This record gives sequence, structure tokens and C-alpha cells, in this order.
Amino acid sequence: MSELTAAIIGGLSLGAVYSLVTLGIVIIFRATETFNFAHGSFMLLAALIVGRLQSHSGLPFALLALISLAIVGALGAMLFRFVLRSTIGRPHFVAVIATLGFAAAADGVIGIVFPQTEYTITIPGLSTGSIRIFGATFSVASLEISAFAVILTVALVLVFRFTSLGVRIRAAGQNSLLASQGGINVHWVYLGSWALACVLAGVAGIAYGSVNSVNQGIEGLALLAFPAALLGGLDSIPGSLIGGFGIGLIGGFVAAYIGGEYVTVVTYLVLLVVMLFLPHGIAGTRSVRRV
Amino acid sequence: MNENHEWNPGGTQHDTLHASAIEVRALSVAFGGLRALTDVSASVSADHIVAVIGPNGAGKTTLLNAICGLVPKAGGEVRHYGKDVTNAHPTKIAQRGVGRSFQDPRLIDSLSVLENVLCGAHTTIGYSLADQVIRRLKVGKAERKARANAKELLDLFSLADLADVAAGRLAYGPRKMVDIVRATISRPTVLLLDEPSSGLGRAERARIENMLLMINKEFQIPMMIVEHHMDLVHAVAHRVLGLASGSVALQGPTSEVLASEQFRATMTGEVPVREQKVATTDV
Amino acid sequence: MTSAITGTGSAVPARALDWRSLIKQRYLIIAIAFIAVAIITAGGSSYSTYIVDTILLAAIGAMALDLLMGTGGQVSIGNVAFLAGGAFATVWASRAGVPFPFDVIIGALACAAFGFLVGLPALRIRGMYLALATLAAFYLADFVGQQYQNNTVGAAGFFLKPVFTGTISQQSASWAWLLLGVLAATIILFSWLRNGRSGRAWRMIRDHEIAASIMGIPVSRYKLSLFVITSAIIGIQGGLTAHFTESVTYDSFTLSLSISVIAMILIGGLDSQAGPLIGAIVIITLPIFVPDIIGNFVGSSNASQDASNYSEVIYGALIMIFMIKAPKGLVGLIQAMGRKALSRWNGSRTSARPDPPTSKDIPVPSGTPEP
Repeated sequence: MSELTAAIIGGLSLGAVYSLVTLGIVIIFRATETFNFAHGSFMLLAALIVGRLQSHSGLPFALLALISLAIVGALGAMLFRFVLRSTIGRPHFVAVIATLGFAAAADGVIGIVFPQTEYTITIPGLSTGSIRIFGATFSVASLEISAFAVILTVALVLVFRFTSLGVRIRAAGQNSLLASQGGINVHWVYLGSWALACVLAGVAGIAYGSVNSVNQGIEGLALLAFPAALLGGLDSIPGSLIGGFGIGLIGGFVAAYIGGEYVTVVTYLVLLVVMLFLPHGIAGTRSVRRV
Repeated sequence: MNENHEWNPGGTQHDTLHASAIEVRALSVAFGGLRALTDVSASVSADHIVAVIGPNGAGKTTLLNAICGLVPKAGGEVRHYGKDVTNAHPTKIAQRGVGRSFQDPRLIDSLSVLENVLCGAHTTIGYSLADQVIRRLKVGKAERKARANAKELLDLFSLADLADVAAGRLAYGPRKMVDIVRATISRPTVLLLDEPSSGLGRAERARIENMLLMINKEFQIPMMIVEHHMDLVHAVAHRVLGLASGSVALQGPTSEVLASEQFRATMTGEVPVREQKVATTDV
Repeated sequence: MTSAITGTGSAVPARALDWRSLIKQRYLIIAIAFIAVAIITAGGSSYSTYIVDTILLAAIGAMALDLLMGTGGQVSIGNVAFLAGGAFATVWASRAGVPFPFDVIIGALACAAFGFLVGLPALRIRGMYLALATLAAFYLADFVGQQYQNNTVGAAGFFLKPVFTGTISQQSASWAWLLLGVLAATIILFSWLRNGRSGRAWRMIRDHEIAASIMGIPVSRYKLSLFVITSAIIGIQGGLTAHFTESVTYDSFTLSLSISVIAMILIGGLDSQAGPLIGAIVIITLPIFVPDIIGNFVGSSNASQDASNYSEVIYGALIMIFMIKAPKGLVGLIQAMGRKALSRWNGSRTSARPDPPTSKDIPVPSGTPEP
């Protein structure tokens, strides 16, 4: 029984964080039809900035988080502006390899600026201690973090769906020519999408880093979000919730019943299966092409 | 023709009992809900050039794609010298000798013109991947022969001085010509050309015209050509097939079709006026 | 042979990458490498010989990746899966009693089979999606290697006995000659494959896959054979590296390593003969020169500690720069300079026509889904 609970609740808990990261990946895909392989670097960077500033200065957490997210958002906008814009018109993998290069450079910078020491992030107001549910133990803080992630993700999904700003952003992603004729400044929408997605990555990184340790493992989270994005549907914003929780649950069950070291490989086998047999994911549009 | 045949410039092997190089019967193609072709029947005789004309979106390129095996069919059949190729794989259809050029010449920019032409000879150059490692002499001989043939063909069309030029540096006109040479090098049993003269000026159109006539008469290769330029159609085509909205609007010998009132109505959308002299519309 | 197909004596505009220059080129490359190895093994320190060995090893795998990505257009970021596969399979064979070099050959065969498996999804998946799918190969290899290692020797990893006898210096030198031989064989083999019918077929598949099938090219067969061949060669690098470093642990096979190989082929130049070797030289020597360069700018005493990090920053930036501005890499830049010099030498400017619209700019006709 405790394994089942660990699988379900643990899976959902992690799935909530996945959803947030996946949402960022979907937003970027809808904007520029590319993958951002540097997503994990943004997550880690944001967490490191907060972690380091928290231990070195007495500034309140909220301010540190804002600074960190502003930096990460700006970096994302720059990545779009200087790198992605130059690859328009060329096959998509060109942009993707460019993000890979950015990820390598970012990881190098991270390695220099934030040497080996591990940082911890303390979010004020977060509960301590653990709770037993049906025989399995969970840290209250991580459950609270997950709840926060879910709420944020759902809120954004609703914003995209129902507000006029959200509709305009979706339109720009759908058909940039029509959108620009409708008065939407497509370039700013793309720039904003990238900035927003990277901010979300930062939020997820900080959130995850507050209940786990701040290290390379955070980047691993982002790599697991790609299967989640494909599962939910690469161009489906609500799909990010489906994919995120789906991958989270799969991982939870695998970890509880087979072993933690199996999680990544199983998740990527799921990715393969989805790509081959359900390319548009669960909630994506049928015409998403794998070319 | 299959990959193991030696390079054989003079001969083609096909079933000459059937007169039609290509025969299309009641062909229908649909993309989702959109009917691209409805009940199209047409044929290309073994020595003819058939021009396919029609307004944009009429389904002309789709017809070529259907014959090549690139799109699934909703009904009807396609025969190549009598053999049913309706559901055949495009590679198999190509290996039977159905050659194709595209409206936008898909060349390999980083390779020379000669190398690009040799791409078209893939099915007729007779060595395998393994041969490339263990039978170098055979490979060398086959390559030399193929290159000589390619050079000869380029020379025939006055393109020999472009042989070593990187394809990416060619202007649009030469690109289209190289594409046609590439499609011809393997001496296909039928050639499908998609707008070979689109985007070209009068002088280059004349060159294309000569190329097509030479390919048809000297090499006895029948063709189906999608065209918008009526002067070219008039000069090279034996028969004309007119498509509009996915159906056959008219069909027949060139001179008859181009002079008919149906033609003007179909192509220009005008109501035919009896007194007006028929002019060749240069679309 | 070459004279029979020589063009006229007049200035030929814009010499293309044609087979004649390649035939001369490969022997030139091998000769230069031979001379370099001879000089360094004779006079250099064992450290510099070690660097040469590392470069030669890296170049072997880089050549394979270039054949896969540069010539064949199959985007693979999980290529380190085959390094791991080759290393672990070689270790397994070695522990089963198979002597060097046959254990490496077994490793290569195992990777060939693995490559076939990885190639199967590639038949239906392309571009950036394929890149993502190759990550699955990486995680699979990583997982299998991890399990194998943990179940046999534990975290310390596998250790192999030295292949050569003698002092460290002599062993490094022996390795240099062996690796030079392997690299030379790879260069020659690849030039045979890249210059013939298969090279044209792979490039056609890379640039216009649908048009390729229209020409009678059996696309699936060529894609699979490409994956099999390149995986086997990368596997050979893995197996040789295992013997060279005399140790194998699963955590040495990281995504960073994959990215560094991509950097090599991008910097050197995609679909080129000399590119992978040039790229390997740049990437491998970067951590050596970087501390000195950085030290001048930053004056930090940590420069040498952070050498690998600084290198990562540099080659990450280089990936972006080359991918965007110069996909033909250093080889392409050198060729362009050579062309400019040639045209000035001939006294007249080459064709004054502006660059023609490439096929990428012109929209594809409807009904033909094309990348």
C-alpha cells in the first residue's frame, strides 16, 4: 500500500513541477516551433542565483526570486533575439543545435561562477516536517511546492485560453501572417514567449531546488519534460498538464515498483513510443509534423 | 531496370505491347476533406508529350505526385506500360523508369552540376555499397563510364561548361535545366516534369523547348508536362490535358484544344465570344 | 584518370566540392597526420603524445558523426551512446577472454547492431525530433552500462590491462601509430563511401528526401546502413578509448561529451573530409590553451581549474556561431578564401551574378510535403 501511495502521490507531486517546465517548452514550441535544449540551464541558473544570494546577502527571498527570474527571463529573450532569429528560414534542427550550444556555454559559465559547492534555497513560509499518508512519508514542503506549481500552471493555462492577451499570443503562434495583419506584433509575442518560458523554467528550478538540492539534477528535470511535452501534445498548452502529470505518474510507479534508476530510461522509451505511434500527443493538433 | 543492371544508355526495357507509357483511369485523390482530383482519366502514349494545363490549384502537381506514388489514392488506377502501379512505393515506381522533375529544382547545392546529374543515374550505375569497399576497380570503371555519359549529356544541351560549377551558385534557369538533365540521365521510360519553364524568360524558355523536343525525339522518352506557358505547350506538346478544380475540363490534340472555346473558358474563366480571334495566352 | 575528365584551361567559375580534389585531399590529410605523429613521438614529451592520441581517438568518432549528420543529415545528439556501447561491449569481450584487438571488433559489431536499432525510428522521425529520439539511445546505453558496471565491479569501474609494453612514453607513442593507422583507414574508407553512389544518395536524402525516393534511391536502406556504419566506427573509438585509458566507468559518458563532438564537426565543417580532424584538434586543445588566454584577461588563479568550463563556454559559443554564420565550418571558410584568392589570381572576378535563390527560399509546390 505504501508503494502505491508513494507511486501516486510522489508521481503527482513531481508531475506538478514537470507540468510547469513542460508549459515553458510548449510555449516556446508554439512560438518558434523549436525545442529549447537550454531549458534546464535556465532552471539551474535561477536556482543557483537565489541559493547563492540567499547565503551571501540578507535580502528577502521574494526580492531574490525576482532578481533571479528577471535575469533568466532576459537571457531567454536574448537567446531568442540573437540566436533564434538568425535561424529563421533554415531547418528547425539548426535552431535546436544552437540552443544546445547555448546550453553548453551556459553550463560552462555556471561551472565557473558557481563552483562545486551545493546551495540550498529557503522559502520563508514553507512548512517543515513530513506527513504520513497511507504508509508513505512525504515532506510537507514538497507537497506545498507541488500545489503551488499546479496552481500557477492552471492559472496560466486559463490565461492563455480566456484572456484577450492569451488569445492573441495563441493566434500569433498559430498563423503569424494573419496575426500580424490583425495588428498583433508577432516579433514581440515571440520574444515575450521565450522570456516567459524561461521565467517559468526559473520558477520551477527555484521551487524544485527549495525542497531538493540545487545541483545538476535540476537540469535532468528539464530533459524529462520533453517526453512530457510530446505526451501531452507539443502545441497544446493544456496538454502540458496532461503530459507533465502523465510522465510524473509513470516515473512514480517505476520508481516505487522497479527502481529509481529505471525512471529516465523508461521515460525516454515512452518518448519513442509516443513519437512513433502518437506523434501529436494526447491533446495536440493532428497536423503537427515530425519533419 | 534495377540497380544491378549495367549502365545502358541506348536501351530501355519495358513492355512495348501496351501503347500507353502512363495510363490513369478514374483517379481520385483526397487530402482530408479536400478532393484534389476527381475521376481523372488520361494517358500518355509511348512517343508523345502531353501537356497538363489549368489554373492554380487545379490539381496538376497532384496528378504528377499521384503517378509517382507520393500520395494515397481514394480511387481509380495508374498504369505504367500496362503494369498497375497504383499502390506501389515511389522508389519502386522510380526504379521502373518513371522520372520526375519538380517545379523547384531540388539540387544538392554543395555538389557540382556533374555530381547532381549523377544523382539521377542512381538506378543505372551498377555497383553496391559493399562494392564501394571491396571492389574498387569495378567502382572506378562504373564511375568513369557514368561521368563520361553525364558529360556527354550535358554537352548535348550546351551545359558542359557548367559541369564543375557548384549547383548552389547557379542561376535559376540553369538550375531548372540541370534538373531536367538529372531526370533524363537514367533514360527513363517516361518523364514527368512540373513546370519546367516557370520563372524563365523567353530565351531560356526556348532552350527548355529544344531540350524537351530533343529528349522526346532523340531518346524517345514520352513526357507529361505541367505547364503554364502556352507557347511552350504549342511548340512541344502532342496532346493537351486541361484540369480545373481537380477534374478533366478538356483533352485532345494540342492544336484543337488550344483553338477551342472550352479552353478559353476553362483557363481564363471568360465566357467564350465567337468573333474573337484565339490568341495564345502567355500566362 | 583525372586528366580524362579535366575541363578546359580557361577559368572555371566557383569550383565545387568535387571528387578530384577529394582524392588528393585524403592522402594529404593522412600525410600531414603522419608527419605530425612522427615529429611528436620522436621529439615531444609523453604529455604531447598523449594529447595527439586523444585527438586521433576523437577524430575517428567525429568523422563518423560527420558522415551521419553532415553527409546524411541525420541529426543525432545521443551519439555518445555508441561510445558507451563500444566501451562496455569491448570490456565485456575482454573479460570473456577475447584479446585485443578482437574485443574492440566485437564492441564495434555490438554497436553496429545497436545502431541498426537506433536507425529504425529514424526512418519515420527527422530533424529536431530525431535529435530528441537519439537521446533515448543515450539514456538506454547509459542505463545498460550502469547496470552492467554496478552488477559486476561497482562504482570504481572497469580496469583493463595495458595493451603495449614499455615506458609510458613508449606506450603513448605506440598508441599514436596505432591510432594513426585506424584514422587513416577510416579516412580512406569514408572517402570511398562519400564519393561514390552512396555519398550522392545520402546527400540527396539529407537535402531532399522525397526527391531521393523519386530517383529510385531506397531511402530506408541507405539510412539504416548509415546508422550501422557510423555506429560501428564510433563503437571502435569507444573500444579503443577503453584500452587507451585502461578504465571504463559509466559516468564518463555524458551529454556534454555528445555536444563536444557536435562542436567538432560544426567547427571543422559539416560533410567535409578534413573537418572532423580539424574540429577534434580545436576542441581537444582548447582546455590546454584556454587557461593561458583567460589568465591574461581575467588574471584569475582558478583559470586552469576551470579550464574545462571555460572551454565549454568557448565551444558552446562556437557551436552557435558556426551553426548560424558558417555551417561549412573552418574547411568552408578556408575554401572560400581559396576561391577568392583564385579569382583574384585569374585577374577577373568570378560570375558577377548575385547568389541565386536557393531551393530553400522557393516555396515547395502544394501536395508535396517536404522538410
